[in-house]
Amino acid sequence: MVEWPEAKWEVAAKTGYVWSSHRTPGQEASYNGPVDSQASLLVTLGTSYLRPVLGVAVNIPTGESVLSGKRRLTRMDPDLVELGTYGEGFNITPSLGVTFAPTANFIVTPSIGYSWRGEFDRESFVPATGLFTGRHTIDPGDVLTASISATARVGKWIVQGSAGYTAESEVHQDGVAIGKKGDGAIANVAALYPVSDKVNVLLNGSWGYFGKNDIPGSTGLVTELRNSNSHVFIGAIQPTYDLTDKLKIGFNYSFLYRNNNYYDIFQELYVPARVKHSVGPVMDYVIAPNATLSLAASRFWVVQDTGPNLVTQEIGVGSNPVVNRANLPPELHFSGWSISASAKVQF
Amino acid sequence: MTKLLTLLLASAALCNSVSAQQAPCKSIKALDGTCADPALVDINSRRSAVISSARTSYNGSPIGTVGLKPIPYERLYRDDPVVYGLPTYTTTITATITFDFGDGKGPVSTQSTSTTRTK
Repeated sequence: MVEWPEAKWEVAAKTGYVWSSHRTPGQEASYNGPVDSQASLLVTLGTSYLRPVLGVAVNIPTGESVLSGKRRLTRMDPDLVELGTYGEGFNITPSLGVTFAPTANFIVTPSIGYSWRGEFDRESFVPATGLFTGRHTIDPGDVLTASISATARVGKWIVQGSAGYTAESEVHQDGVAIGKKGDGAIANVAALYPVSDKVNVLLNGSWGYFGKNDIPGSTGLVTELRNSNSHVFIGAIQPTYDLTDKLKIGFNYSFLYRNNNYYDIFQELYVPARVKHSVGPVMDYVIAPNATLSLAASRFWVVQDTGPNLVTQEIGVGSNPVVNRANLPPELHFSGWSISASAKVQF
Repeated sequence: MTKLLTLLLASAALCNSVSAQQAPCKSIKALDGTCADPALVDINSRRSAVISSARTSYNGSPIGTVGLKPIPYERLYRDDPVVYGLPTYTTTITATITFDFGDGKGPVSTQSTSTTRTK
């Protein structure tokens, strides 16, 4: 007789609606509409020593991926807004992990996931009109993620960590391969320290790095000469205080650091080094036993490094021309406020 | 050999007896035979599912996240102008070259660069 393991099923979904407005003179545009929705099923099986975790997550394209004309400008910098883009294709990611415990307070889960990412359309530039009124079909390729996660209780600390490897397939535009992201390494460490019954401190750090991309060459895709990807570091500290059983308040400081400047002359693409700091209050309120409301506000500052040193003007005769150079774009500073509200309801 | 087999059987019986007397674990058993902390088991199982499915969309996976707002973990892979179509500075070099045939009135060549923020 085979004992059927105990199973726990969890279904989750999230969606959103965005009001986005770009008000730079001459580039005014807005997008008001839904963003893509996501749904997932997580099944946790229980056996004596192993806990298999089966997951399926999907992206349902309820948002718009084609933003013609100036509307394309409403896609915004991911360091200035939380929702930078509004639509992609139908994607599905099955995943499998197996949890085991070397000791009572040290848990390990190796896991693997594969994202099949479906095609979607994107606006394109029409040279004859000089407008972004055409369409491309983008096949973004698939992503394999293999990782190992561990959680341990060390004294009063709870420490969690994950390390992973990602591999992506080629990206096609209208059936033609236009690139392939380099293999990636990712890591995240999170720690919780309970200072007292009511005060906790959360620490979180992430790192990501991708190898050299493949880019279009004269004979198909070729590996770029210099890696156009950077190291990206994200760090955060968040002390919280349980004001009541239902209300938790706190303060968050986060930073993001991208370490490298790169100018890809083939793609005319400039990827600037950048630092972002963000500080602000956070709040979680338990509305009902199955519902939580989260509010957060932050003030942020972004400093973007100078661009490549390019020749801006060359005037002269013979072997001694006057050459003017400048870093383009120059160092840029951004600052702003970010306010977010989210509700979580468990059925 | 018989003594050894008897000893092993006795040990196995003792282990079964001890196991039978222990309360069942709320979660899995650790490899050392103790009961694993159920909260840690749940946290880590969910974390592994989040990491494995994070690339489902720009917004990650509804299973959860492993980062903190306002700079989420998902930010690590949002720098993809082809897939996500996000703004990246594009520097366009436009060169204008004027040849001078030696009359001394004009430059040999000029080159200008313009920078535009396009997508």
